[in-house]
Amino acid sequence: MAKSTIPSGPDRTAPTAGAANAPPTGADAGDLSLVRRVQAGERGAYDLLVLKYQHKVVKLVMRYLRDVGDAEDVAQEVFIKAYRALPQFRGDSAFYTWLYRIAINTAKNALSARERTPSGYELDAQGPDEWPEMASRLRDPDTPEGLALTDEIRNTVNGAISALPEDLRTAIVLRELEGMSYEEIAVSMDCPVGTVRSRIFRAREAIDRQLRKVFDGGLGRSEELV
Amino acid sequence: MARTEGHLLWLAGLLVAAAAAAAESPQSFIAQMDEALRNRNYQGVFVHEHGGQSETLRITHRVDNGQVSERIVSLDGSGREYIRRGSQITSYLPDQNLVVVDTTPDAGLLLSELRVPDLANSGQYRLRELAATRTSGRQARVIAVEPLDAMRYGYRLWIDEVSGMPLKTQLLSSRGEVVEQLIFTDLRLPAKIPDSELQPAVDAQGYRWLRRGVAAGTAVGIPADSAWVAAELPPGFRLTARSVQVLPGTSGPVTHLVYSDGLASVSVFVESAIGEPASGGVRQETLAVTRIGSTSAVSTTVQGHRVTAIGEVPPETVRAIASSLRAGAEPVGRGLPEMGPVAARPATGRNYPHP
Amino acid sequence: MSHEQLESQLSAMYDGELPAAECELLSRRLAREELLRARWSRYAMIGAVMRSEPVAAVSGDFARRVSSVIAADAGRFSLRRVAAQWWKPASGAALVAGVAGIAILVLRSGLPVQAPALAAVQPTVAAPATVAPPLATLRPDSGYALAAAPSREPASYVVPPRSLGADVDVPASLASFVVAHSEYSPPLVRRHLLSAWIGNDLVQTSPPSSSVLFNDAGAVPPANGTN
Repeated sequence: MAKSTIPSGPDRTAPTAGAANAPPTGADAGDLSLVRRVQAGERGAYDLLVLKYQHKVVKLVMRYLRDVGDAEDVAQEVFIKAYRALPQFRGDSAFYTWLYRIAINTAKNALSARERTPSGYELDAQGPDEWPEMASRLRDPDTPEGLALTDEIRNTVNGAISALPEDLRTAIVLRELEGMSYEEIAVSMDCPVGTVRSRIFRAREAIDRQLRKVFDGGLGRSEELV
Repeated sequence: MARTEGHLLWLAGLLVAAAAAAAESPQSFIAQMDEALRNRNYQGVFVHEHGGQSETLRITHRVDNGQVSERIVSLDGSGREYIRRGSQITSYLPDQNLVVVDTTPDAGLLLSELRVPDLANSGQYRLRELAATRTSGRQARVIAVEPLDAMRYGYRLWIDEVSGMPLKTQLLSSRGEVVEQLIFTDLRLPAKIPDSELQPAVDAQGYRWLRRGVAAGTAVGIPADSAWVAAELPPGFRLTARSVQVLPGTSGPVTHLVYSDGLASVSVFVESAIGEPASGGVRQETLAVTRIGSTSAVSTTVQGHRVTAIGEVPPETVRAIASSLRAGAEPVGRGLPEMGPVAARPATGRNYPHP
Repeated sequence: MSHEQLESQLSAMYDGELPAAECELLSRRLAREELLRARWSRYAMIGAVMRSEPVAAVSGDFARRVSSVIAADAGRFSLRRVAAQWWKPASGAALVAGVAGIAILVLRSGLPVQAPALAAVQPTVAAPATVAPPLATLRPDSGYALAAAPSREPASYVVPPRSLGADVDVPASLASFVVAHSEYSPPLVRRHLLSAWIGNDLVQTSPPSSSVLFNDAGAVPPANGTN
């Protein structure tokens, strides 16, 4: 998604992945098709976008507002604003890049409104995605329960991935980390697209099985934190 | 002959050695960055943060047979685009149903570059390399351009080790506050960029097209006895341009002075007499400064004339400069003698201090 | 269709790799089944964790709350209203600024001002090669009301929202100066100054002084006729 893809090495004549004019592949394609469906009137498709980014947006808002309830209220506002502005989104950038900007501005405004000080010059050192090497630093005062939960989630997912058979792990890594399309992965792994789809699904299934345990069975609980 | 050749070889060797030694200096990293910004094809998305606001923009930059084409598209829903071809900039403002066409005096890039020779000559900034770090998943050198006083802003640059592109750029106050920030969230350096990437996506049918009028910026003769200067300037600031223009919203010609310290520029506008009594008794410190992002603007009255100073400098600086304007005075104190009408921005072309 | 097949479809749709026809069917199932939506959300979490992106635990009904607000909005909301909400000229003045050196048109309290340095010309630049794709025509109950016949109707654009700050009334002269100075500003600042003027985007720092400044209530001095 919003990753730098600068070719390594000084040879600037080397071609890069992702031609400048090609339709979005990999990570962006799913979001873009959802956006188009919302723009065409399918409100349910927006629900899927919310479900996809709620964790990231709430986390982002919590950089400004420490109270979890407050943060969720403001995060709600972010998604509503984005929905209202969606007709103007033309796909020039990734959906999340666009959503990220709305989230930052909304959070800053909310912070100023609450603190009654101008938002001024906050040090916003991150772009839409935290850079991997910063992941270990705890930047916000989460509640202890919240922190413990996300740690557990992280450990569970990472553990499940390392336990995967190699072909499943490769497939899901190429998909989630490299943002490659099924077609590209099929080429890379030298197998049919259908096999790619199946491997990714089975990888997710295996990880999700462990993840559901974290949420305590994960079936039918109304307070389930999903 | 052999001796001359030997001498030349020795000299060449010295230059190479000097270049090699100098290649690792902060100056050379900034020079590399300028070169990358100017001469590479790149396309990316960056977040521009200033004055509490955040804007996401996509930039496409192509160099083709020496001809530079650029396009910046705002991704905030306004649909605004700025396209530069050579020295012409066309701004599409679909939310205003407006297109504005202008020419730039030089081939200024749409993205900032820091000109190393100016930095080196100004004596007002110290260049320092800080600990390298990873940003955007890339290894980056971190270069600090630190002002020696609080009258100007400094920079911090995260320069990609391999490509020389500035992955992150910050404009900082002397207190370390981030005044402005630019972060690339997506960056590619394609070998070729098709023409279609540099066309506007705006359908400008029925829009209003505006172009710089022939009349704007015409110099008008000024009576010698009313030459205005800033009598006291912060260290390092020199007069680099002077003109008299007629600008809308003012009555009579306006003197436009430009002071620069090599990196930052401050414009001073002196309007014709407005017939108001001199505003004696107003202390400089109480002048309110208006800020737009990193730009500070202040207005005051000196000897019956409205004086306005605008620049990408801290508020105290425009206050100090505006308040020091005098008519027909010779500069005193730390101000430096007026230079000839040199443009504040040097001509394009490679100006690197090293061969 | 077995549940497993459904889940496999979900995984493919999550990646944007499910054919459109199947997407429609799956979406209807998703709209009805909480558990399928929960799974979708967990897929998102898996990806985020793999990429070491920061995530927070979120209440189970978060998405539901968002969709209920959106549903309540439906029918009342239109694109035009979005534009009206964000565009608010200060004191009836509309500032239009150009890049360095271009003169400025000021309309203040409905009084037109001569701006001779502006040459309103026929477009001399070739029309753009690509035309903005028209927005899809939307169903009336979707919450978006878009004018019909999008191919003729220009797309609606949103004026960028103003930053926090005082509603400062700006004299035309300052606008001219800012634009004249922008020629000496870093290019990105120059572009931003252009945008800022159109959005009337100013923040005034304190302390304000009564002797000076940008609160002229007086009439705009007539712009000079010729050069």
